[in-house]
Amino acid sequence: MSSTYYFAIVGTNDSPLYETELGVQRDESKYLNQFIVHAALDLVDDAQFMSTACYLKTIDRYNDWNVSAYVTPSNTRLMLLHETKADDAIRLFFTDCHELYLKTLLNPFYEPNTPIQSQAFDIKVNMLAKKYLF
Amino acid sequence: MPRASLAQKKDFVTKAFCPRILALASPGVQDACAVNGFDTFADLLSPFGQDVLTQITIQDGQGAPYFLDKINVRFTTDFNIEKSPTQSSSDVDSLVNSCAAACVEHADPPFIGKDGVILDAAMADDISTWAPWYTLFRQQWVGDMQPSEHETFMHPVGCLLVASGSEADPIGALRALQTSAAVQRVLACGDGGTKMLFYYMLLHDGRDTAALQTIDLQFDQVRKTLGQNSALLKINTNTDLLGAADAGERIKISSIWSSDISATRPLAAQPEKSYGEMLTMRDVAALRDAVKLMLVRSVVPHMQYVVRVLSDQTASERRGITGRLFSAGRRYLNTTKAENTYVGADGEVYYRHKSPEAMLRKLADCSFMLKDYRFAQSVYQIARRDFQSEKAWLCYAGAQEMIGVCKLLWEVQTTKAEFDSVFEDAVSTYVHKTRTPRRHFLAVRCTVVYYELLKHHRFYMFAPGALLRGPSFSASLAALLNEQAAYSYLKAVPRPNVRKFAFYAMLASQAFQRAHMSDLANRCLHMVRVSLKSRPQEQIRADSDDEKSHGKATVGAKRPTRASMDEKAAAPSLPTTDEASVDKVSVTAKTKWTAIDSYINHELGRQSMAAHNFGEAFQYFMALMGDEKTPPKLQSKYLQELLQLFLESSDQLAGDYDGGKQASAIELSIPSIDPQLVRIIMSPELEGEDAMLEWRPDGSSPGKIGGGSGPQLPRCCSVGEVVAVLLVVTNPLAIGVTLSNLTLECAFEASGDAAATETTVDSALDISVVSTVILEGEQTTMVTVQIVPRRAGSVSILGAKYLLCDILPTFKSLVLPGRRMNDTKDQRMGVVHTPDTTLGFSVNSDLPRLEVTVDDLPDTLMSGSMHRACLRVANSGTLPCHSVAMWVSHPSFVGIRPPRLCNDEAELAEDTGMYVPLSDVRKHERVQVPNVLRDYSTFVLVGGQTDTPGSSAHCVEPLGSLGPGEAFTVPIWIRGDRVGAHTLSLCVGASSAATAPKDLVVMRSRRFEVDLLVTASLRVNAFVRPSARNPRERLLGVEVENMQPDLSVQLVQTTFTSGFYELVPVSSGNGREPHRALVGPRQSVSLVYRARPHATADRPCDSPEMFAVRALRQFIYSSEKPASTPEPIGLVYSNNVFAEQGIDCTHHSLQSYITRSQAHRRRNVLRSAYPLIPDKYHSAMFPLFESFGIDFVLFWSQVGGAERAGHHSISGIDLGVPHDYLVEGLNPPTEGAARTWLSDTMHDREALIQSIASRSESALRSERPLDVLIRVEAVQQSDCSLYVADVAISVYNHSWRYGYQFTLDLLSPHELDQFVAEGAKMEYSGSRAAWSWLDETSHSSSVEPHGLTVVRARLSCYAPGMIDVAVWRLQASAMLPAAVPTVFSSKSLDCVLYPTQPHFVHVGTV
Repeated sequence: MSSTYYFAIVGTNDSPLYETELGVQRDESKYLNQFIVHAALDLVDDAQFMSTACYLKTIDRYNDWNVSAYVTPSNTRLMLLHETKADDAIRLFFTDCHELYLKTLLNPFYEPNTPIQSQAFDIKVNMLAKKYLF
Repeated sequence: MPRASLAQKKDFVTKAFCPRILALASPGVQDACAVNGFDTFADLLSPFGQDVLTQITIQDGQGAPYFLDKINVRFTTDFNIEKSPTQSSSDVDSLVNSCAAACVEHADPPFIGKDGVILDAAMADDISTWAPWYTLFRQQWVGDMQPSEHETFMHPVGCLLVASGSEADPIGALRALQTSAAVQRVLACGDGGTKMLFYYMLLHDGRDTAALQTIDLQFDQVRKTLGQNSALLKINTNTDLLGAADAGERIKISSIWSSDISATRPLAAQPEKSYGEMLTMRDVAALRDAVKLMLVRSVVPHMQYVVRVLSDQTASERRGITGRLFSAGRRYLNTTKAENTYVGADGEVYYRHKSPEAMLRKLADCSFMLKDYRFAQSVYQIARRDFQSEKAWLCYAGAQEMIGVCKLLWEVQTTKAEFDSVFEDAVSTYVHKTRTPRRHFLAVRCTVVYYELLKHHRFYMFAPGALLRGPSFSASLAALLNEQAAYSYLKAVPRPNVRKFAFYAMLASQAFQRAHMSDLANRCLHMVRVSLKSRPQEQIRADSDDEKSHGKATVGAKRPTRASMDEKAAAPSLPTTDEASVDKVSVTAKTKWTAIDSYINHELGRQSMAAHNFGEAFQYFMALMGDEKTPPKLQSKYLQELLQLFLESSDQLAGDYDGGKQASAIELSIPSIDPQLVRIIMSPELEGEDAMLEWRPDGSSPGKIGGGSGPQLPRCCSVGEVVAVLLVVTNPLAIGVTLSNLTLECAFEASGDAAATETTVDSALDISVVSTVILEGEQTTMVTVQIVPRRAGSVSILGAKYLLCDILPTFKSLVLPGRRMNDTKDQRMGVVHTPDTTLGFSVNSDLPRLEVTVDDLPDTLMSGSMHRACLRVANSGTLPCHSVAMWVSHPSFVGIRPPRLCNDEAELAEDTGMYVPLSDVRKHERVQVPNVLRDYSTFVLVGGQTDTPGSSAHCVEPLGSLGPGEAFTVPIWIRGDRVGAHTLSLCVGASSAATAPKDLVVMRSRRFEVDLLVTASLRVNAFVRPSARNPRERLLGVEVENMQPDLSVQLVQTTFTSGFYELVPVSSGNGREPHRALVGPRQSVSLVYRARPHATADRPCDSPEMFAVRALRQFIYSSEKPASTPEPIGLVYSNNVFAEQGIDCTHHSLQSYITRSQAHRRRNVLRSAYPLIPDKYHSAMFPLFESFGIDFVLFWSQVGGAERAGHHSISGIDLGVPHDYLVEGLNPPTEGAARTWLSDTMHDREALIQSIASRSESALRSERPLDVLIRVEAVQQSDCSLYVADVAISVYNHSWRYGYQFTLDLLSPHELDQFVAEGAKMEYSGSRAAWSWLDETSHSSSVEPHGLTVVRARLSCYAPGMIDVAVWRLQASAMLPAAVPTVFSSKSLDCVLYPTQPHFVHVGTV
């Protein structure tokens, strides 16, 4: 299955801490991915107060694209742009990514709200994507 | 919201769906209209059909009364149902283009501020003003509605027939109009159940004065003939007064029609004519009254009549379940089904006019036009059901649309589900199910109407969904709808969705771009760029809270970071004609969403390029270059476009770029050259780090120049010296780039005499040019540019310049801010940095040019072994050098020889080895050596003549000066002093002073570092035992273990140095024992020496210990700090030579080395033992050597050759005799007033006293000041076969400070149990019954310091043999001098001693 996913972790100051394109890479739509996810943040801001759960499910869509969101207690937003709908798999993916992000926060050399440059983090996110999304 | 304003806002919809009246005029009337500038009579009436106040109460479809406030009506001149608008995408594009062109102003909306979206303005402002072209489009689009079979809004509700009174037969004219083709077409669409309304109007033209008399008569005839639906209209009544009419009034009258045309047909060309030339205000009033009269008297009652009739005819359709069943039964069973519907030319299913469904639709439309929305909605819902079942999709979609409109116009609070779904269904059905050519028009109309109603109700959250559902068959239409969707997000409640706004504005810009409307596309992109700067309010609040909590100043009080430097570097310094109008900081998009930024900058750059705005385009394209995450394809594309842009703009900017001047070059972010990684290397062909360093007199490592004000140049070079500048060039892109003609831009400031004359950079500096640097993708390379200064002055590097890809002249700034200033109020309130001096150096014409090299530095050594390295200093300049010094980090590792000027022969003849061999080594030798403890890490090589006290500089026969062309070498012996890995630093400094300076202050220095690994060779341990032969003596054992697996070591010599003891080997008198001096691999050898006081030992009062006590007391209690230095000490050298030839330990080279090692060790010991005493007082308070410490040196050489030799040493061996003397210094002086201390100083002193006192009590081991030795002198045999022996008991006092009074109790062995029972710890293993003391067993006496007192006693035993006589108790107390206070004193002043080991004496036969 050649689905394309765009995953981004957005910090509290609305800047992306980490972003990756999972699956088929499409250079021409990188800006569109960012735009869609960035625009969906407005809906996350509203939706997070409507639910007590971290996982907000699909909060926005544009054409065939869906945006799912997960808000951590520290208001870091995990955003996934996807075509296919698989709520359970995406929820599990988000939960594991959240745990991964927590471990990054525990690193004393990582300054919160700064871009995550760790290659290990990147590899683990890709592994989680293979595990849950593909 | 007040209902009045709501009513105003929904006017658009009510006006769009208002009743139409067919207005037909006779030729005479046409003439009257033409005189006033109107084409038709409908045009004349048109303004007066708007907002006609009816103020009447009418009945709805069910007979219930309601109040009709006002009504709109439109007059048409023709009715043709076949005419249908075909809206192709090109038509729509041209329409939108026309709308945009009609709006001259394309400025940003008022909510777009400089730093983001102004939310308050966005919330307060009206959305229609942000895009006036949409308002025009909306008006034009809905105004283009044409009659259709599926709805009756465009069907005239009545016919207005107008004849002129000037005509011969007005009645005939009216009848002729009544039978005209247009009227017939209207009648053909009627259902037949209701009559058509005809309204007759007789027009009297005032110009025709002849008809004035007969007009009333004619009107009576008309009324009699045609009925009551007749009216008389008189215009142009006062033609006589027209000439005198006010010009203002004329304009006012004309504007009534012109404003009506601009409102209803905004895009129609406004003819250059004035309307109503022959009309007066009275005529205007007459027209208005005539229209109102027609509406109130005829049109509205007629519509009511139609509603009532249709309601009756369709009652069964609308009446509950019965009607539905009846309707359904008729539909399925009746064979007349086909008669009700037909398929139109466009393939759609339509209803015939007499069918119940068509009548329902007409009923609903009429009710809607009479504003009875509730009833209309119910009828629409009934009709919809039938339309759906018949698959008449166009009718169905129209009904759905009107249901939604009715719900929203009804003004009852509705939920989204109630209206949004019907509109969605309507649009979807229009677009996807209908096949009529008008489906796009109808879908857009539905979208526009729905959007207007949502705006009216302020349901902005639903607006984007509604707009985006609209058909997007045209790019311009999609652009308009997306733009409106973006604005709707901005008006969303409870807070504006700025990010959504940005997204849809971006989509709108794309669509505008596709529609070739670049102005609006650019406008949208600008809005996106600005809105991306906006931050949510919560975040702004959170940030401000953070700033408050951290106490930060609100002014940007941050040191510029690397990123901000990049940002500044990315801002180009391109001089353009309109540069002043371009804000450099805000023109490019700069968020953390890099792909978004790249897209916006690229699009804006392309648009600026197309608009020939090259200055702005450059900024956008250069901002594109900095993003590393851009895919390689895009990077390549961006770079090509940038180069193309430069080539295209080169004609315009040719004058600015010629010659590649720095001011005209572009600051580009690629490739990146980090200013912090730029290195300036003086004399690049030499090794070592070169810098101007400060040499402090305390012997610490030469460090950076600190303190003082003004710029300090840490580097200095002489004229003509080569300076290499190392640049680390990184290509952040994934594609390769080429740099050519890379060189540096420098600033030069001449100094001295040259400052008076004008000096240019070109004449003062020779800067090399690197022809080509090829950088692959993401490659980092180092580029070296050489600078050769030709004149004295200061040089600072401003940046690097090069040609990028052989085309683009680029300048890269390398200037960094210096240290943040914090001295004055202004500096604290603002951000002030010192000028950076890291990328600069000074050129000093007085500085001698030295070449310093260090040869033969080892990397591995065995511990204790030696290696010879060589320092060579050559003066390659033209000035003599008068001061050269060297500093080493590990003085205990390094031994140096005096410097020697090198000419070829002398250099070869130099060097005799580390040790000075001596064949006749004396066993004991006493030598006076300096006893000053100080840092010996600095050596003066040139210029220092004397070893001045207080200075750390250590002179080893320095040279006077070093002339031009001369060189000298210094042999350096490096010894592996400690096992492990070490980094040795060696620093050689030269002063530029013409004469030798008194102090070493600032010197140009070259620092070398060498990593040295020291491996273990020998392990030497020392141990101490008491001597059984002499109480004065101690046995000192030395165990030497060879750690090497394959190396045999020959011991050459052992040397002990002590101020008090001499040591002689125990085993042999001559000490030459070759068999014992050979230590094989992994073997060990023990050497035992007897330590005894030397005959010529110093008196205690002159000892270094007393110096330390006095100095400590002075430090603590006196008002003056200790500044004296200890006297030289006479050291006793006890040599024991194993080999044929010994080593001269008193030679100054070895002696200076040993002194350095000792000083290094001693300082470390003191620093850890007395941390509260500052380092700077160590030399004034502590001597280098102590009297009673023993230093041991073991010289060895490798067996089988002299390639490897060395020595091991143990410093400060303690024999275990009492030396707890320092506590005496804590006692306050008996004389001399102590200074009154400040409280802090008092606390410091008390802490120091406590630390030393507690250390005395806890850290030091228990010491025995007295030693006892028992020796049998004579043995007698008594009568009773007892053996009686006379013994001499020697009591020796090891203390150098106090004499002792003691009482010696000799304990009888058989009473020992009783004694032990008292709790004393004495273990006795000998026979208790075999012997006993005789006579007096308690002896009292005294013993002087280092004195010996002998006590006589006797013992008796039963049989000869060895007896353990160690049964005694010695109670001693010190005899203190009267001057010694006793607050703090040694803990061994009063002591009770017992034997610690068995002591056997032999009692033999007589």
